[in-house]
Formats: sequence, structure tokens, C-alpha cells
Amino acid sequence: MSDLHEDALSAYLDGELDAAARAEVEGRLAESAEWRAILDEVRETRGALRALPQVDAATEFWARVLAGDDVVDLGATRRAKERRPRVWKVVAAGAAAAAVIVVGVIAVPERDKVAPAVASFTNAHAARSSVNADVVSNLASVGVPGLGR
Amino acid sequence: MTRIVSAGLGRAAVGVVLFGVAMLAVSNAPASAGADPEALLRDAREASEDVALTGIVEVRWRQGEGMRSETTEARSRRGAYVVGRGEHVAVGADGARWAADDGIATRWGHIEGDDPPRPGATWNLSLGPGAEVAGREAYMIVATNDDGAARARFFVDKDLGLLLRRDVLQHDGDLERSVRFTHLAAGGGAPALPPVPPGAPGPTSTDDVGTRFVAPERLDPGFRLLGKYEHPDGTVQLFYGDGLFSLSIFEQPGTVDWGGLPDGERRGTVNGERAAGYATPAGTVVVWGRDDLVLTGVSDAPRDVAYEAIAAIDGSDDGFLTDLVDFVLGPFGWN
Repeated sequence: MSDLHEDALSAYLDGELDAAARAEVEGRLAESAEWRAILDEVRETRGALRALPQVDAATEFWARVLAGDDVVDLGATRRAKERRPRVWKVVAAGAAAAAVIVVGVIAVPERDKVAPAVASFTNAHAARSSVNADVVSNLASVGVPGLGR
Repeated sequence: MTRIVSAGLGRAAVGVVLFGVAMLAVSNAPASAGADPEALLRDAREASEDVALTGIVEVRWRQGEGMRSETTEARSRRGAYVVGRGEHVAVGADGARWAADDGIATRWGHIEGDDPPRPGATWNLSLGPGAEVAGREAYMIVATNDDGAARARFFVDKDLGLLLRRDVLQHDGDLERSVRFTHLAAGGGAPALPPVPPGAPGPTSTDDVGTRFVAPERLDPGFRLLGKYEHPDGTVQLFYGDGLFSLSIFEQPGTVDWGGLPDGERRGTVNGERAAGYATPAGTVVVWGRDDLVLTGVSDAPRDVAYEAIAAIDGSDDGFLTDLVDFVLGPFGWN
């Protein structure tokens, strides 16, 4: 097993690990109660952060960011995290405290995260499938409760 | 020979319906089809546009360890259809479609796209023993792959030429998904169409989806690209058909928000990338990401066939079969 660190748990929850790393993390979780406890802790913290009310950033905030002022180098944060992997709890606590403050002021839009509208997509597929095909058998899936219900 | 479900109808109404059935039987009988399975399926496509009917439809699909079953209503007349009720309803009229599901509406205008391949383009079709569906005599058409494994059964009404039942089979022959009439009355009044919400979003046909999206003309094992559509939110939908089954690939720029997906997923991989899979009444759904694209595949094909086609969207000729085996037999474990 490689030199796997608890920092991987955050990436694991974000779905950012490749298949091999994910399998490694899941193996470690299966054998380590400590890792499972840490995972729960990270998950709880993130859940608490998500539960906070979001406020849109002021227009001038993004204007300043785009102009190069007040730029937060997220890459630098990650690099620093990679250099100091053993202090993740300290970083997480600090980040959580900072986030509580920051989230109250701004909410950075996650512009590249997408949750596909799975139910709508299945309906769109059914509607298209019913053209030049048997109508009832293709549309029947729309007429019944299914996914997530 | 023709049994009509007519509970609740008065004697006069029954007479009218019987007359209607007789007329429909004359006008819609697949006389030209004979017992040719491909012709029966081809004519069934048209019969669904022509036959006036009122019926109850059951959808069964394999979910987890067991089969889930739901029923709904279907009515059609003169090219207008209503399938479903309440908050789960699909409406079709004049080549347009509207699907509403828990307040989420999708409206299609007149849908453009290529005609699907012939039913026997990819599958071997043969006539099975006669059968009865919803009290009506039916031809049974069996679709087998090149290995001789039966992967689908279609039951076509001997009088009306209408598709009464469609079964999708797992590789071991067990039922994976089924749509069938449990009750059917031919004839009846025109269905009342629910109002279409003003401004309901609708996709539009497009020839050029842009360079950031992938749109192969063909996907193994036999799907052909029949249409490209752009949804109002920028989602691109590619629609494929193989003659019997269909597949949509939805593409969105970005990375997958795994926490925002519906519950009930099974985890797997597509070409080594994390994926979430769902068994739905519409068929198999797989969500995964690659190269800053979020992809969602939806298909009514047998699950392993859908997986193979979905994996092929990545165009990895060398690796996907190995990954597919892992995908089907490994992490998902649906069967």
C-alpha cells in the first residue's frame, strides 16, 4: 500500500480520487476504525458548513477578483496542504472557522460542479424515444413514480 | 377472440366500443405483415399512432434484489396520447411531447431526427409461441443476439397490430424490465390533454454541438446517432438507436457533484472513472465524468448492452472491454 494520508479523505468525499486511490482509501476505511471516525468527522464538518445560509457575492467582489485584486490562490492552498499533510485537522479547523465567517459574507459559486437532473433526463429520453416508435411503452416510464420516490 | 375490458360501461357503450374494435381490426390489422417478425414490429410503431385505446399499463423493473412494479393509465386517439396521471404524466400530440414529473416539465416541439434503423438491423428476430396479453391474442417476437441468447420479447396484438408488451431480459434470461398492458379497451373518446405549462423548457435540434462535446456517429454494439439536441440550460443530448432499443447521452460541462445525485445509486466505473448507476422504470442510467464533462447515459436496452454502448462514448478501443467486465460484475452488483 502506498503512503496514504488522511488528507485523501477529503478528496475521497469530493469524488476527486482516481479509481486506484479510491480503492486504496476504501480498503483503509474497511480496516481502520480510526479512519472511519476521521471520515465521519470530516463529513460532519462539511455538512455543518453546507447548512449555513448562503449569500451571493457582491458584484464588485467578482469584478475585483477578475481584475486581479484580492485573488485567492486556491492552488496555493492545496499545495500548502500537500506540503503539510499531517496537520490536516488544524487546517480543517482553521478553514472551518474561516468559512463560517466567509460564508456569511460571500458564497463562492461552484460553477463547475454539476449534479445531472437524472429524473428529467430519463423523461427527456423517454419522450424522444417515443417518436417513430411505440408510444405507450416508451412513455410509460414517465407515468409512474420511479427514481428516488 | 377479442376480449374487451369494459367494466363500468353501459350496454350501449359496449356496443359502440365493439363496433369500434371491429372497425379498427379491419383498418389496422397488420395484413401486410403476415408472420414476419420484423414487419410486425415495424407496423407496431405505426399502430401506436393510429389505434384509439384506453388501458392500464404496468411497468416492472429489477431494482436491487427484487422487482418493483408500478401501474399507470394510457389513452390515445387520433395521434394524441396521455400516459400517466397526476404529477407523473406524458402527453403527445402532433409529433410533440410533454413530460411532467413531480413538477419538472420537459417540452419537446416537433421532434426532428433520423428514422431509427429497422428492427432487425442489430438483433436476430424470430416468432415464438403465441401468447395472451391483457386478454388479447398476441404474436410473440423474440430478439436474440449473435450468441443465440434471448434478450427481449415483444408481444404484438394479432388484431390491432399494437405492441401489448415488451420484456427486456438479462443475459441469464431472467426478466430485467417489462412494460405491458394489463387491461386494454380499444376505441373510446379522445383523451383530454392536460395543459402544457407556458414557458416549459424544450430542447432544440442542432447540427453542431461544439468541439467540447463528444458525439460519435456510432456506438458499439450497434447504436447509430439519430439526433443531437440542445436543452435550454446548455445540456447536449445525443440520441442513438439500434432498431429495438435507444440510448441518450446527456453532456454537461463541469465535474460531477456526487453529493447532488439522487439516492439509491450503485457505484461502478466507466473506463476507470467513478460512476453512479441507477435502475429506473425507463431503464439503465449511468452518471460519470471525463475531461471536464459530466455524462449521463439513459438506455432501455439490456443493462450489459447499455453499459457497452455507454462505455464506447469514450472511444477507448483498447481498454473498455476490460473495464466493462469490471463495471458489470464488480462494483455495481445489481443482480
